[in-house]
Amino acid sequence: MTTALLFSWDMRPEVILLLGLLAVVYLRGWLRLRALPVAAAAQSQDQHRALAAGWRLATYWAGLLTLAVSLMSPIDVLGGQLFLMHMTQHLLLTMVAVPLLLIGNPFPVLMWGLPRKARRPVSAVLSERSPVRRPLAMVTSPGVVWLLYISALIGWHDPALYNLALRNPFVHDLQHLSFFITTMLLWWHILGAAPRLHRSLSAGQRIVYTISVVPVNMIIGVVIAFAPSPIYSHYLGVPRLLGLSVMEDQMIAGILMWIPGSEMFFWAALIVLTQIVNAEAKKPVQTNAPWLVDEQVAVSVR
Amino acid sequence: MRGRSWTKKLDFSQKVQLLTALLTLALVALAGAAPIQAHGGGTPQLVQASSGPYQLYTWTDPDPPRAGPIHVTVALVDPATQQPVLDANVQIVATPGEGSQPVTALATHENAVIKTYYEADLDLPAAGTWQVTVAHSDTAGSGSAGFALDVQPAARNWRPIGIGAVLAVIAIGAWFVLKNNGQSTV
Repeated sequence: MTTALLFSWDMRPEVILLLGLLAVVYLRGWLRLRALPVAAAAQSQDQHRALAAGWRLATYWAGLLTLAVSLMSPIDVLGGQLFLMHMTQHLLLTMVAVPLLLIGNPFPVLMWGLPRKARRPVSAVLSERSPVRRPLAMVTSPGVVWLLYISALIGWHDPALYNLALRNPFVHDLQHLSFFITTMLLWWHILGAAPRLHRSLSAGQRIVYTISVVPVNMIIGVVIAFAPSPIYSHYLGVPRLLGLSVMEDQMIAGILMWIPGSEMFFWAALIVLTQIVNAEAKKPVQTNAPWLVDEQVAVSVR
Repeated sequence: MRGRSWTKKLDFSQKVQLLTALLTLALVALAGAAPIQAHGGGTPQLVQASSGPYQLYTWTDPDPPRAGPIHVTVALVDPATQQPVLDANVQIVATPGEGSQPVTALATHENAVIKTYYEADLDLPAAGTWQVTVAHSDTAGSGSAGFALDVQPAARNWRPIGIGAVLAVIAIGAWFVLKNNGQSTV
């Protein structure tokens, strides 16, 4: 049976082509940035080289690979039979694939990968004079994005909607797309990736913003984990796999959302905190600082 | 040979553009061509139905069922071990209330995305109430269970028109790009 389950892949051509297209365009942009002519301004060239660092290509491609695994592997296929698989899929999509993609700072690299004629309309939409930029900035402001993320998170865990998504593949794709887009926007603000339509959040604001979504995530996870009866009736009508009862499956899924699902936000906040500490440590020592005076006084006491 | 000399004239950047355009066209065509089917799921029709030595689960897609292709997913489970039964012969027979001939299909693992399930497509020619019977047999024995399927008339298929419209937009865009291609290089 294990072999049968491991061979349960849903190779969706539209997903393979879309991810392949993104991988090729990113690679082309990355190669073009690396091959910038020496005549370019030195500082600009360094910035472009930094954008085209090897680890950025690696993280972006790892993000695409994670997307492919979460959308086509047995994790996706068995999501309809095991709640814990479906939860794993959502965590892979939103907590692994999205940060990996954004760490690759895809926007400028993908722009360099596009033909010039395709780049122009995108630049025109995002330019300061564009009539679209302001409304776009409004609907993607940190507050609106936070609200959209929380709404998607709570809304899709409603039993009626969740059951519908498991029964109807179109609604299921819509669920994944809304999770992906809202989480992409949330992590976009957290990581400060391009395009920058808003004033950047300060390090402190980023920590608060990151941590602020954790309680909702944790509460939903805890409610699912400790529910006294099955929440999603769909799982009552499918054969049980791996010897797990409906309630055991539901409890593991809830714990997955509660702990690993919240953990990634804590890690992000911790990294920002480390950056603050490092930045403080790099500041020059004030020679006339009060504590130095105190120290001298203490030393001079005989 | 003529095609080869034509591609030879393109520089690397133009080849990448051409490849990207072809990939985009293929993406649109593929996304539109394959109907969305609930592999390994859909609307439950039989849940834990006793059938010979086993329990039977059956799902159909789309919801509501319409005249045309109906995707049927079947799971056989051994009630003693709760393990899926993997090597049975599974046949699905849909019998119309009146008029049309019965439609038969063999459900197999090859057609299934979840390899512990059996899947088949039934092409139902007309609307009405169809009696669907799922029959299975293996060394442990045989059995069958059935359900009534209320099939609606076929819906108008807008898919080809949609795909055609998207392809036309892409073709017009590509024509504009190629028309001005000689004036600037990427």
